Amino acid sequence: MTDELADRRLVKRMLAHDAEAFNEFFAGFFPRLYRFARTRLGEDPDTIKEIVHVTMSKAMRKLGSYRGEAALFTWLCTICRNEINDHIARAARDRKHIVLTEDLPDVRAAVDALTAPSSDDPEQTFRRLETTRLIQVALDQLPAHYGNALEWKYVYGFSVEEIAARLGLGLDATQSVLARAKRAFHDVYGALTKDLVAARDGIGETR
Amino acid sequence: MSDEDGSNESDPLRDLFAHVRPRAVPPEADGAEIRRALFAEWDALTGRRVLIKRLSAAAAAAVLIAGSATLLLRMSTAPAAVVASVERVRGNVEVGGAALAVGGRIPSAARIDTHDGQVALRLDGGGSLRLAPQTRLTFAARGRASLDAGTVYFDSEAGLTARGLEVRTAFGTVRDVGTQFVARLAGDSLDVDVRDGRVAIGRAADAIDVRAGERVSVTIGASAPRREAVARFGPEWDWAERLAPPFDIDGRPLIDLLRWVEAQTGRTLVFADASTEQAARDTVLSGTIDLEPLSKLAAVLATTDLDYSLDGERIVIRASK
Repeated sequence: MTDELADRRLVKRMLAHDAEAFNEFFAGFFPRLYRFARTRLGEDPDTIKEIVHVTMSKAMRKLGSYRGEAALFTWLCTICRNEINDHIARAARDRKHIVLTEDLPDVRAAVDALTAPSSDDPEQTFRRLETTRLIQVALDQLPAHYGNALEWKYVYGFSVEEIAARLGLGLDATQSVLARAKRAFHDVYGALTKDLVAARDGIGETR
Repeated sequence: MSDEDGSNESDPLRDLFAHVRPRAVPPEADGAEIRRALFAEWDALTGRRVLIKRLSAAAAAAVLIAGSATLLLRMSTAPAAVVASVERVRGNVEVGGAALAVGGRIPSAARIDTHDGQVALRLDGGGSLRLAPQTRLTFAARGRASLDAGTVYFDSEAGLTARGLEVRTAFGTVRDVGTQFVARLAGDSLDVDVRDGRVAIGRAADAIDVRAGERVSVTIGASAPRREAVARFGPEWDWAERLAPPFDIDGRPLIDLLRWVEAQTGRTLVFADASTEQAARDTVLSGTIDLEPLSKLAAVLATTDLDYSLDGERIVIRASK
């Protein structure tokens, strides 16, 4: 089943007042959306909380209009980005306006979640941080159980048995999930790095 | 051999992830708060939608069985009267053992138990009744309730209430006289704090009058009630503020929102000068935003040329710098 199809089914179940679907939606998207907002709003927990709340509330009211043309997370990010832009516009008179190079319209929503690194970082740190950010963004772009499974395996070092227990699956099913998650990660991560390089090349050419 | 069987060899991802830290986890309290609010909104939105669908589908069948239903209704006892509806709910709040959701209706004679949650009710006779955690209350009829445990806050909303509220307790009956008050059962005593207006506590032997800014404590075995001053704003009222009913700002002048915040917080609204007050009257708001009173004030004022500060019990409105 494609991600979009799974997302459409999830939305359909939510519209049918399926509480389990609501739980799935919140558990799957809230942490990722929170990170999306956090990378763009900085360390301002009250604003992040407000923006994420408003975003999810608006999404809830618009659920009926979700057609599955894009992944649900991308759709949520679009709403969230609009909220952030509105917030920045409101606060423009007493805040510095933040412009991220990744906001170029031709860069896909996934790249949107990256923040610009500070320019005085040493090259080595810069590359490491950039890789780390890219990986974290890629994990957030995956279906929640894929991203979680990979993070548990490679970041926390959990065994397959431990991951199986967390996913509530058997060992064979968990191995299958991990294999599919890795393939999906390769696709997303590859696309992210390619888009980012293309976007930066584009910026360089226009200067 | 597949890496998923536990072997760590020949896995390029392991090197790639070598310096990756866990992704940031949202603060648990924020997640819980947003989840509660979102669930209530989702429940109200989709519950109503499903209900409409079901009602449409059932319409034809309803016509067919209408005669039988009428007969059955005549034979059955009358249903309990609806005395209130749910405006906000946080956590697990039950009525008659069933979970409450926004938009839910409260019948008389059904006990509400907030457990660890909180709920704000819109009384059918008018006014906002809010129940703190660990509260048990039963409506005997419209405008009449029995408080078995816990704390309630009632806002008659500047005299708009047609019927008022009477809260019966083991220590006496609390009657509002156009007011905002808290009634709190704690062990062997009943505390009544009045924020605005006046409240009467009726007992078998006498009646006690409680005025704005006062707390009266009625204790078992005490010869007389204890009377003391109480702040009309601040931490003790926070829980009730958080349950303030939604206030639709769209198309309304800013001054309406300011007066609403003033009423919900128990503070006094003050303008820095006449031109600021005029600006508040002239500014018409648009959009929707659902936050707690002071958060809502901050969010709305951020879109205008006005700002606010708290000065003791005052909310001071002035032009932005």
